Amino acid sequence: MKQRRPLAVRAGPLLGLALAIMLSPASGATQRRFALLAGNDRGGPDTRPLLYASQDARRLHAVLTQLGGVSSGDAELLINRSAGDFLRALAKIEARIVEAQRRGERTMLIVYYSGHAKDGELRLGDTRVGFADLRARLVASPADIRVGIFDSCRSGLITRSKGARHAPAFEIEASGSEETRGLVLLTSASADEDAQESDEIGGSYFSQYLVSGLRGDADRSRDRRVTLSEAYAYAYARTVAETAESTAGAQHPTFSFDLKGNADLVLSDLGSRREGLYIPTPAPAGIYYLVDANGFIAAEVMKPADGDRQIALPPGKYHVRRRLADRLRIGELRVSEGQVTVLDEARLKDAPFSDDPVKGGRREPGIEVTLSLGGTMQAFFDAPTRDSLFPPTGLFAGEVQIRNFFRRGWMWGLDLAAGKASGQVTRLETPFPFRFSEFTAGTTMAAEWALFDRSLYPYVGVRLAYLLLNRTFDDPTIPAQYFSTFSPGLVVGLRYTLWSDFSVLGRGRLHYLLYNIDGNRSLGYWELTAGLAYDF
Amino acid sequence: MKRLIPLLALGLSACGNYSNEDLDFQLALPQDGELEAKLPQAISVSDSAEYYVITRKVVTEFNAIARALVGLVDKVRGISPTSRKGSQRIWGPWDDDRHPGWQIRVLMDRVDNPGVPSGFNISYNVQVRSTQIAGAEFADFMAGSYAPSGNARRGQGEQHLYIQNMRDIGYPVEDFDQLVQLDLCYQTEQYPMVVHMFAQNQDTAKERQITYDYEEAADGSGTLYFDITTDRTLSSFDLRFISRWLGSGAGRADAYAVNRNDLLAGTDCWGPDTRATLSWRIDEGAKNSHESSLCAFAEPTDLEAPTCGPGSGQR
Repeated sequence: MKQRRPLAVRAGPLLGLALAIMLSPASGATQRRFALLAGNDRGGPDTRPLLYASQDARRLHAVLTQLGGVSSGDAELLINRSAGDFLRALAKIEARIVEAQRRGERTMLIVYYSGHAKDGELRLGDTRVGFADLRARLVASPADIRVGIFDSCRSGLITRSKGARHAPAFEIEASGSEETRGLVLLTSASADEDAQESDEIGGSYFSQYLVSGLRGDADRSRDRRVTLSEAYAYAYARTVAETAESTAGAQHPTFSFDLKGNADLVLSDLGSRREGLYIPTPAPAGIYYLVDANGFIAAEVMKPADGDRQIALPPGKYHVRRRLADRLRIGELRVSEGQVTVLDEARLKDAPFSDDPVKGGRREPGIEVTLSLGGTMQAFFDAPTRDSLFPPTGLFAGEVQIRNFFRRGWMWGLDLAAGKASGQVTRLETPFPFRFSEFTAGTTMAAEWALFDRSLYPYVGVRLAYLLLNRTFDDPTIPAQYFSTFSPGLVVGLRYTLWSDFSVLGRGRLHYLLYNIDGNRSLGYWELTAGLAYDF
Repeated sequence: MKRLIPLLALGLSACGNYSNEDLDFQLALPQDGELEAKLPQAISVSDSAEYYVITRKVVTEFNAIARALVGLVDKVRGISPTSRKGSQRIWGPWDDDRHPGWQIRVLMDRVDNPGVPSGFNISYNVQVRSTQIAGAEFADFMAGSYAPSGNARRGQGEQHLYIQNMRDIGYPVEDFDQLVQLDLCYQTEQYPMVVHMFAQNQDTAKERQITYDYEEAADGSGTLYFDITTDRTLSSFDLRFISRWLGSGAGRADAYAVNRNDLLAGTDCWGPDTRATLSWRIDEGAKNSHESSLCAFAEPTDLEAPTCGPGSGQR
């Protein structure tokens, strides 16, 4: 299981790392890199939804395709997909690896997973993949080099295997000149630890620091290339330090490998993209957070007092933040295409902690989409209207709810409903039976709250509906009638998560309808809905 | 004012013809077939009774006129009023496709009338006006009214077709030959149901006036009074033709020369197969003494039709 921690405490020693593995794609034959990255916010029964697992996968995907030598066509990103999808995608990539090898290309496969894990299995929604099975799959994979990175609770289980070495920091004696082949596994936590994610950094600790390291902050050798061991050492040190005083306890990433041969294993080449940020030596020491336009931390930079730092960033606008004991230093900068922006300390300004640009933005959970289907009962309050004009109607209703689209905690709904009923209008004591049909389309904007460990979601909002009402009389001499109009209303709803991605919902609506055919009449109607919802 | 803007927007967005009140207007219009005469045996054989054949021909003409009148207003039943103002509904005006340069509109008004079971009457007017003449007023092409009884489908009504008015304003009415005005009234609230038609032709017409009176009983029997008032030249005489039939199809018709002191000019009786069971003409002398056993009906004792509306009793 992976746990969320709202606030990280920075403490603990920075572990020294000895660089050993230097496996470079540039040496020897051409190396083609493939990547499969999966992020699952939901882990099925007995787990609480994660906020940042899918975002972790997206960020690592961005780094690998921007700096990691993985072409976008060779990178597969799976967000909230099933185990079946994961294994099928892996098989598809392996088939392409075999094709590449037939052409004489050397190959590397990077498999990354961020999400829940429990009882020795990765939890991809309601589906599972066993650690042992996945490890065996990677061992048997045709790629020359296989790198597995697992950011989940007790992910260290996958590194417990005969023949693999396991250490917080590692050193490999380089010898020989043969091409490197084998398996490397990185995990975010040891076999008995929870992996933690944090609102403070807007992601899981391990993945966040791995990404920051690959963007350049882990480049201790200053050769503009971040090797696997540099990235791991950086992520290890930062993760242990930041989680040391957390209530869940320190989280220790693990590393194991089974490699033959000797070459540099460079995970990101900072020289492959010219854009980035340069923090010169005179700039104050400390941790600089670079927050992208979406409010997510794109990278962290640990600036030493006696040295400079450069990290690769995609073009765009960034907020920069450095935290002092009593205030923040914040500012904005733009990274332009093909240019390295130099941080000018003079352009940062003091700000209280309440102006932290990271607040809100980076804590935003991603957009969530829910499809609900249900039955709706609708009736007008006015008895004469109900009896002879618009009879009570049962409708089959469907709604797509999009959460956090406009802002966090807001739900935007688009709904359709259709239904039929029978009615009768009496004129001069003569009954005229009719068949009534209704079609509605509506849009809802509601504020939603997550209660009881995100299992109960009440919401209140407003809705604007378009109604098309028809009736056809049994008497064929009377022509069919219709009425269409827009109708504003209020919505109150409740969604309760039954299991994993499924929930039950109840919803009530109160609507106003201006009927203007037989004179202007202000009418009101109510709707009650019960249904099932599925979260995509 | 600002509070009214959303309501105004909703009102403008609303459209349709979903109306209970419109039903009152639509039900006021006679339906296709409602005013037509129903002759049980709508067949004739080579030896059908002569007066049966005449009866059938008159019924066909009667029904054609009834359909034409109903057809004039029936189109508005299928479409929404263009505007609703209180107790008034207006359809149109539209350009007259058949007669360029003219517009047509239909007005229907609901008028309170405590004197009828329903408490209201519906009046309607089909009007035309020239678009070629500035400021031209709408003129009645047809006017009608309907007073529903306690049942929405039953009541009394009348329609008037003002053909001469149309000629006077230049509206093309060539289809109506020498007709000046056609009046129709009907009551369908109880049996026998009655439909009366009176056609006034121009003075130059040989047949000056034609009157149809139709009665329909609940058992399917019916009576048709058919009168023609001619120019009364020596060679013509005014005709009154009274045809009665049973639900079985058997019937009797008597022809009278009105301007000859209602002289009985001929009688035919027929059976369900429309063949004559008795046939007598004035030039044959005395009638068959077994007439009562050969005919479904006795000779009429009252030549006046139990009719309604203008033209009633005119000869």
